[in-house]
Order: sequence, then structure tokens, then C-alpha cells
Amino acid sequence: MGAKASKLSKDDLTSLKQSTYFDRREIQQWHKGFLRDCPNGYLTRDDFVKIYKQFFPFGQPEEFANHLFSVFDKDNNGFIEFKEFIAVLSTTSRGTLEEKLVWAFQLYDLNHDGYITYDEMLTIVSSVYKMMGSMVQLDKEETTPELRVKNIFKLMDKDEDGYITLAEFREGSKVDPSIISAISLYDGLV
Amino acid sequence: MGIETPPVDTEVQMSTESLPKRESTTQLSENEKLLEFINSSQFSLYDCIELICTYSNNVGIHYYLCQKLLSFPHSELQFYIPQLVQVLLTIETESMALEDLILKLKNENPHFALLTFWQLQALLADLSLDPESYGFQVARRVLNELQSSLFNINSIEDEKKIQKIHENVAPALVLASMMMSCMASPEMASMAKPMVESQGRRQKAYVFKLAKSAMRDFTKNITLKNTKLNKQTFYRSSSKGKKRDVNTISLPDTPVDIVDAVTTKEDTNFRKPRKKDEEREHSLNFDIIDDVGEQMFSEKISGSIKLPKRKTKFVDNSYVHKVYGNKTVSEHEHHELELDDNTIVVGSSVVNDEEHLVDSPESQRKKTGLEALKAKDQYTSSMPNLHKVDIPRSSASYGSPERKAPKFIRSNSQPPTENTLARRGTLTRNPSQLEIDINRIPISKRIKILKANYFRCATQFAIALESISQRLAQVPTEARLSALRAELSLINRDLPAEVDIPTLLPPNKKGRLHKLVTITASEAQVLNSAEKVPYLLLIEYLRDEFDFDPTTDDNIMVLKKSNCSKSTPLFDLNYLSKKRDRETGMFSLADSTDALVGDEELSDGILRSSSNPLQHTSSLPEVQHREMDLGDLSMVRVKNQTDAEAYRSSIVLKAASNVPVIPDDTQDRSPDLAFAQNMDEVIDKRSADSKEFHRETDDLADQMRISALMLAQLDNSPQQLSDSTNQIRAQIIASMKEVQDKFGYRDLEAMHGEAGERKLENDLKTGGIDTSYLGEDWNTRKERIRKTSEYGHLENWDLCSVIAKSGDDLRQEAFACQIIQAMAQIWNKEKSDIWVKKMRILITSATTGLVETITNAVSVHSIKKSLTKKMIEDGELDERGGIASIRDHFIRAFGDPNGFKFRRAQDNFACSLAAYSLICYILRVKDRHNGNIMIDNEGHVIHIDFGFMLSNSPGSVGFEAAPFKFTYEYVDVLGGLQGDAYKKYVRLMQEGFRALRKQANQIVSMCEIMQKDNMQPCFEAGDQTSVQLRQRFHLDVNDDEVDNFVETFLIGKSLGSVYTRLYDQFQLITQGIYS
Repeated sequence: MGAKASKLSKDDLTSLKQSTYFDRREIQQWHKGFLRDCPNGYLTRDDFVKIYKQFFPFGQPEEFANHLFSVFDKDNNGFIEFKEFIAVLSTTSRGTLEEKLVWAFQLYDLNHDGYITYDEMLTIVSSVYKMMGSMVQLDKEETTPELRVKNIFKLMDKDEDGYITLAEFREGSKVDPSIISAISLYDGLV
Repeated sequence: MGIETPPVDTEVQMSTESLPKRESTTQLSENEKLLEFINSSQFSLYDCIELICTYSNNVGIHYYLCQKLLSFPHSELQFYIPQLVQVLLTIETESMALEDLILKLKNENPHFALLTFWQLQALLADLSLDPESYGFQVARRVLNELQSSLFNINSIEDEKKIQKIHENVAPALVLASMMMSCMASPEMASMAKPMVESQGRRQKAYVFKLAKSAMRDFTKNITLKNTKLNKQTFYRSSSKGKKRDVNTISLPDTPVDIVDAVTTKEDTNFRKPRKKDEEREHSLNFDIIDDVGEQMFSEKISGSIKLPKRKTKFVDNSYVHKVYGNKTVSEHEHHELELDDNTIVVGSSVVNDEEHLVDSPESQRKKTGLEALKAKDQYTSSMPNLHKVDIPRSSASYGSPERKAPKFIRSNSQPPTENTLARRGTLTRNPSQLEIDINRIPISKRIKILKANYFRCATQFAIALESISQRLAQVPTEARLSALRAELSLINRDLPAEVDIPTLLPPNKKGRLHKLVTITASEAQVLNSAEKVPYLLLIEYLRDEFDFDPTTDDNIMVLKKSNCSKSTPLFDLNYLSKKRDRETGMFSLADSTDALVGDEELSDGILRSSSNPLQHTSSLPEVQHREMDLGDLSMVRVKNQTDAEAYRSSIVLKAASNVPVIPDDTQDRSPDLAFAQNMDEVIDKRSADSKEFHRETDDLADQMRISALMLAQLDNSPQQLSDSTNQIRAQIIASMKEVQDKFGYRDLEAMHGEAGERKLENDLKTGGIDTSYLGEDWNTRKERIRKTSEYGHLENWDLCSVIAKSGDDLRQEAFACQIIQAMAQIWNKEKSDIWVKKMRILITSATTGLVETITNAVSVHSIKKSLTKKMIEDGELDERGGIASIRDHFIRAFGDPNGFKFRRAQDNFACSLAAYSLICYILRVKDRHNGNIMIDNEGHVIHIDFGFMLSNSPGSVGFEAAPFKFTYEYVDVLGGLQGDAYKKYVRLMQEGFRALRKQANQIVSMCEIMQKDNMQPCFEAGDQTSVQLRQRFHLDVNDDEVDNFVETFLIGKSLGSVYTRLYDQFQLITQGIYS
């Protein structure tokens, strides 16, 4: 890595400092760490898949990693640069509950139309189930993605129109204790 | 993480690469199969360890496997500690899982913690040659963590804190996504969390950082040694690189930034990580380890600083050696005080430098006592600078309790600064305020205190045993036994203590540990050896005597003790609390010994030097007072003495000693000798009786030690051994013997120094078979000791016999025992009659360890030697009629060859011979002369000494070419080639070989794991070691041909092999080992 690539510009630093929950030093630290792990300065889809295969070796994490990549890749150029990475990390680790839920919504709203359809939800839930493989003991009533999606819709789709809006997504998540506790599970780690 | 690392050779990674092109189903089924295997019932612990190696490049699998390890019983895990540690250090991985696991286990199992600690320490010594290597970095890091959590009773708070993850992309990414996916499946988040945390702890950059700072510290220390500033640096080292630390005492301008003013040596070990980086994890505390490395560094690279023999420009270094005979001696002397005084001496040496360059032996002889005194003052001034720094503080401020504070701290493995400060604060207060209700301490912390106490006791016990061995090495052979027993009686003062011997004394099922109560000093034996001084200890212990339950009465006592001195582990606390009110009057033994050169011209100096301390005790205690370092020898209690005591002891000693060297010395030397009194009992409010007893033995013990030191000194003195010195020497020995008689020991037999003679003597010391010619049977001995023991009446009293070794690397031996044990397990599973002796070895450092004695057995050599002698005496054997045979012995020990006893012994012989034949063949064990083969009281054969196996052999290659040792003599015992016992032997060989072949992979793999980067001689052939090992299983031979192979190839080739006979004869001629 060149000397230039290894340093954040002052402007970048300032704007990141404003747009994230990290302070200057933390941003620099993470930047260092990012470059150490990804010397080219970006993560690709393949990198995502590799990482998830390391963490979920007994499942099939490919699909999930791909969906996730799209959420990270704001400019849709096929690369996750440091800025994109730190933005997600900031919100997911230090954001408010509302902010987190807004972010999470994007994962499920595959076509970004503001609604989560049954199919979209099923796609994501299936990819998560595949990623877990047999490693997690699931609730007896949610052993398949379909069952889980059914429950999610029961929980969130208050008007029962077959779509989950962002508002419904937020409200629905907040009333489910298991979701809330899972969201806050990693608090304080970053 | 492995984002940038190129995919390695496993399936997992390969398929990742080809993922876009094809369906990943094959790969998945691969991993799913693996998962199935892992969770199957036949999945063994060893499979798990093997897979941990295989999947080191997949963080997830690695993590899962390490979690799986936890499902196996601790005792099994403990068995594989060498492999686990080896894997940790030699197989590079991105995964933190194994490291985490080891750190987790240390909390659950105290023996596991200790064993890992020692194992790592030993390996670190090897690795320190390359401080930038992966292994060194990991070892250092883990050792640090172990260290701080084992000995630091405050670390429990830290454990509860949430550890932030570091700047690692992969876990951060997973963390982010888990939050987003928790609507899809909330369970997922908790499933991934432990791994995210574990991987998040990883610090990539820090390897580099650490290496850099390690190097910086090296340079620093080297610089230090060559600076006058070093005078102010207190430096402690054990010559084996066991534990070292650097400490500066309140010198703002010292180049060593390491320690603040208040902390003292021991603290440095255990103090909190340097706060270099903000994150706690970043700032690693690697002082100890660093110092080990530093030690190695100085030994290997800057040898001039430490090597005693070489004349260097650090002359007063050599001066010191002149005066003390030898550096190590001086170190040993100081052991009482500060194990590592010699380093200080070395450090300050530069100061005195030039003027002593001229101090050649002759000129030194000519020097007046005054000169000697001056020189000595330089010596003393070098060490006491420490005290000079120390003392003003204490005398200026708070008087006695405060003065003790540093000592107190030093003697404890306490965590550093704030802690120390707190304690100091406490100490300055009225003692009565020190009592704190232990109930106010949280339970978890109480347990922690109890454990820390145990760890301290155990590690220091090991160090004490090691230092004895080192000290004995400096003593002439004739005096060693007395010196040993003297040392042991000093150790005994600290027993009983919460200490046991891991591995050798495993805990019971409920996790209760045995407690050592005393070492039977009068039964201790120095074993004869060409160079090293191993010695035999009979240690009395109480079975299942203690645990860490903070609610038991015993433990409450322990806690209370620790409590009144504010979180001090009790072991030293005893000493300190008692000591608090007394004046200190420590004298460096060095003062005495340097004076004891035996040169009358020095007596002036002696007179003055030795009278000095006395005066100081009375008038200026603060000035001359010397710190004791209990950290090094916590086993040896030290007590202060008053003038009266000093005087009394001088009288006692005068009476006790007939040391003629310096006729008028008794009076003058008294303060030094009184040092023994210093060492005297502390816990001794027990009873007046025992107090008296202790006092007596202590006097004697000390007397012995001083004589021993004098002898060592004479022997090492640069002067030619003139007639007069020889005479002195003889007199000293005579007087030591006299003292020894007072102990009630038998006189030692004259030794011829021949290996064969030594072997016999050793055998009779360690074991015995109940025959007229082979020593004392173990049970007899045990009962005899029990009768005289003050603990003998206790129901759970027991005795164990241990050989302490120092100077030898026992790890190969331990590895042999481990792999033999693994084979025994294989045979056991097959329900085979094959019999193997379980041998246990505890490694406490790269050069020290404890070996469980095989009681009830004697080497074939000794059997033959004594039996031959007896038979000649009885007229059963012509003086030239050769040597008694094993069969002769069997007949004498077991009676009529047709009788039940004999046949049973014969059967035992066959069962064990089959085992060791296979073991020797598979492991290629060489050097099989009769001194290394034992026979026990039931007729079993037991092989010992595995210094030559796998890829190394003794001497020239030609010897011992047979697969294993199988002589006609053995056949004779087995009742001839047609005998039933012989047939059984053949059958067991076949059966046993078949069983081993089935598990060949495990045995080969145990070797494979260990051979990597391993400096043990048995891995001389490197990677080929395990390849050759595998070849010896002859896996190409079909199962139905195996029996034939065993009979013709293995047994046939071995039987009566000319090589075997040749080797035996060689041994007989050169070493006097009976063939």
C-alpha cells in the first residue's frame, strides 16, 4: 500500500467525523485496520462471501453475503470502500434503535421501493436460514423460512396488505422482545 | 479473516474460489460431513486436535472445534497440553479460538493453568532465539494473560468488562449484518456473537509492534547493564530464565521507564499492562516474558555480560567470581536473599571495573583484608543501592511497617500500582484497622484469592526445588547430601502449604487437591550423576485436602490471613505479619562467603564485614538492612533476628561447627551464620517443641550450607590447590560429616564414580525390592516414614517419591511418557493383557522438572550387580563364573519356577516385555543397556530414560540395530522358546502390534504435531521423524500377514541380536553397566 492510500485525507476525515458516531482517532484506527485487512482499499463481493464462509462454515452463506453486499454498496460500483464500510458500522454499532431499524429495512427491501413483499422477506429469511445451517436450534414453529416469514408478517404487517412498510417494520420490530434484544446484543462492542 | 491471504489447501477455500462457476453443494456436503463427524460419538479428543491443525485456516471451523474440545473431560485435555500448546505456537492461524480456549480452561482447572503456564514458559525459552516469530509472539501474549490472571487477584473485575472489538473488518462486518438480520432470525445474533468477540480481539498489527518493543527493551536492558544507572536498577533473574523482571526504584531519570517508584520486583511481573495504547488489550504486559527473552538474549548474544568463566572487561564481574568462587554460587547464596543479586553485581560491575582488572588471583591473595573489605563494600554497595533508594523513604516516613512495604510487595505476585498504593496506604495505618471482614469481599474474588495463593505456592515451590538443584551443583559431591537435607529443612518451614504437584498428584473427581505437608528431609537423597544433581524427595501429602471453596474453615483462614495484609497472598503474609514488629537484620550470605576464602589475610576483612551487620542491627538497622526477596524463595522463610538471637546462634554455631578454616571466626562469622536464624521459623507459634526442633535443625542446616559453600569456593578458587587448602578441604568435609551425623544420617558410601556403581546406588535410593540384596521395599519405607511423621496419624496421609531434576530438558522424556501412555490406552481399549508402567513427569521449565519415581523397581544392572556379589559371597557363583542372570533373580525373588509366585512373575514379565518391545521398536528407543531397564517387585519390565528415540541415537550408528532388545536371557526367564510364557509373549506382541497399527495415525500425528520447530533431539530428522515413525508400522503389510511379520521380522531379528549383545558389552566395559 502506498503512503497516500494509507492515509485518509483531511476532508474525508472531517466529513466522516460528522456523518458517523466515531471520533477522529477511531476513524483513523478503523481505517488502518481496514487497510490492513483489505490492502487494496476495498472489499469485493467475493471477499464478503469468503468472510461469511469463515464465520458460518457449516452453512451456505453465499446468498446472504450477496444481499448484504448490496446494502453496503451504496454507489453500486461493486466495491465497498472504507467510507461505505464505516458508515454501516457506525449506524449498526452505535446508532439509535430507530437508525438501526432504518438500516435493517434496506436489507429486506431488495428493490428499494419502500415496501417489503412476502417474496423479498422470504428471500432474505431463506438466505439467513441457509447460512445458519444446522447450527442453531430454531423455535419449533419456525423451522422453515416460510414459517418464519409467516410469523414476521403476522407481527409486522398490521394492515395485512401483504407489504411491510418502513413504519410497520419499525413498530413491529420494537414490540418483539427477541428482536430488540438481538439488536442490542452487540452494543458496546465497537 | 483471511481476506488477503491466498486460499490455502483445504477444500473449503478451494471451492470458495470456484464459487461463481459451480454450485457449491459438493463443498457444503464436505463441511456438513465434517460437522457430522465432529458430533458423532466416535469423535475423539485427538481427532479434534488433529482437525484443529487441519482447519486452522477456517476461522469458523476452528472455532467450532475448539468449543468442541471443551466437551471432553479435563483430565483428557490435560494429557494433551503439550500438543495443544504446540499447535497454538506452531500453526499460524487467524483464529483466536484456541488461545481463547486455553485461557478459558485456566479458569476452570488450576492444574491445567499451571501446566500450560510451565509448558509455555519452557517453549518460550526455545523461541526466544527468534523474538519476532509467530510462536514467540503468541507464547508471550498467552503467557502474559495467564500470568496476570493467575496471580492477579484483581483481574476478575476486568473479566467482567465488555471487551471492545478491535479494528478487524471481518467481525465488524458480521456484527453489522447480525443486527440487520435479526428480524429474519433473532437466534442468529447470539449464535455468532462469541465468534465475533473472539475474532474481534485479534490484533494484527501488534505482532509487529510487540516485536519492535521487545527489541527496544532488549537494547534498553543491555544499555542498562553497562550504565552506572544500573546501580539503581534492581534486577532479578533466575539463571534458568524462569522468571525475571526489571525494576527501577524511583529514579526519574533512569532510562528504564518501566516501573514506578513504589512497585517492586515481584510487582513488575504482575503489574498491569503498560498503558501505551488506549485499549487495554493493546498494551500488553510482557515484562516477564520480555525478561525471559532478554535473559536468553543476554545469554546467547551478549554473553560477556553474564558468563562467569570468561575474562571480560567487566572485571569486577570476575572479581565477584573470584570472591565467591563462582557466579552461580553467589547467586545461590543470594537465593536466600535475592536470587538474582548476581545480576546486580554484574550490573554495577562497570563501576569498579578498572581497578579490579589487576586483581589477578595472586595479587588478590596478597591484598590486605582492608582491600578485600573495600572490594566487598563495592559489592555491597552495588546491591544496597537499592536499599539506599529504599530506605530513606521508609525511614523518613513511617518506620517499620512502611519499611516493610516494599518487601512485602515484592514478595507478592501482586498487581501493580494503584493496588500497591492502596496497600501502602493500608500499611501505614494502624494494624488493627487492617482487619477487614472477609464477607465483604465478593465470593468470586475470594475464590480468586485462594487460587492466586495456590498458583503462587506451586510456582514458587517449583522454583525452590530448582534452585536447590542449582545450589547442589556447586557443592562438592561429598557434601551434597548434607546440603540437600539442609535446604529441604528450610523449605519445610513453609509447609504445609496450599501446594501440590500437578500431573504427579492429580486431583480427585470432585476437584479437591492434595496438599503437601512436609518433605521428609532425612530420606532425601542426592542421586549420583556425572554432571547434574538430580535428587530424590519423599514428599508427604494429605490426599484431597484442599480446594478453592471460600466457605470452608481452612479457606476462611487462608482468606483471613490474606486479608489483614490487604489482598496479599497468604504464603508470604505469614511471614510478614509476624515480622512486622521486628527489626530487620538481614545479612547477605554473600558477606560471609566472600570472607570465607580460607585466606587468613582476609580475616581482617571478615572481621569487619561480619561485625558490621551486627552493629547495624543494633544501631543502624535502616542503613545496612538488606532486602530479602521472598519472591524467589518464598519457600524459605526468613525471619529477623535480634542481637540476642544473633549472639545465641553464634554460640550454637560455635559449638556445632568445627570448621577449622579460620580459627577465630566463630564469633565474627556469627552474624552470617545467624542468617540461618534469620531464615528461621515464622509460622512457628505452633508449639514450643517444634520451635526448638526447628531452631536446632536450622542451625545445623545452615552450618551445612555454609560449609558447603566454603567447599565450593575452595574448589572454585583460582588459587592452586595447595596442600593447606586440601587440608582445609578435608577438614571441612570432616566437619560436615560430623554435622551430618547429628542429623542422624548414615555415612555415605564411598563412590567410585563409575556409572555402574552410581546406578546401583541410585536404584537403591529410589526404589527397592523386598529381597535380601535389593534395598527397602516401598511399602516398608512408607510405613516407616509414616510412623515418625507428625502428620502420619492423619487418615489421608500419603507419601510420594519424586526426583527433581534441573539442568536437563525433560520435555523429550515427557513426550515419550505421553506417547507410551497413548499406546497403553490403545491396548487398554483392546482389553489386551499387555502391561505398561504409567510414568509421570512434570515440566516446570525448559530445564527443570519433576519425575515420579518408580518405587518397587530396580534396574536390571543393579539386580545383577548386587546379586552377583551376593552369590559370590554365598559361594553359589565362582568369582570368575560370570554374572548372575535375571532368572537367578526371579528364582530368589519369586521362588520355585513351578510355583505360583514365580509363574505369576513370569507372566508379568511377558506382558510387560511385549509392551516395551513394541514401544522400543515403534519409537525406536535406543540406549537400551541394563541400567535403563528395570524390573519391579512383581516381575514387570519397565524401560526408562528416553533420551534416545525416534531420530537420535547414542554414539555411532552401528549399535543397537535390532528392532528392540530381546536377549536369550529374556527367553530364559520366559521358560525357553517352548515355554508358555514365551508363547504368550509372542501372542501379545502380535495382538499389540495389530492394535497399534489400527491407531497408527494418532501416534504418528502426535509426533507430527510435536516435531514442528521442535529442538528436542528426538526430532533431529525434522519432518522425516514422523514419516519414519509411520514406516515402522508397516501399514503396507496386510493384516493377515501381520502375525507372521511380528514373529519373523520383529522378534526373529531381535532375538539374540549380535548388536544388542555388543551394546551391552560396550556398556559393561566402558560404564560398568552389567550386561
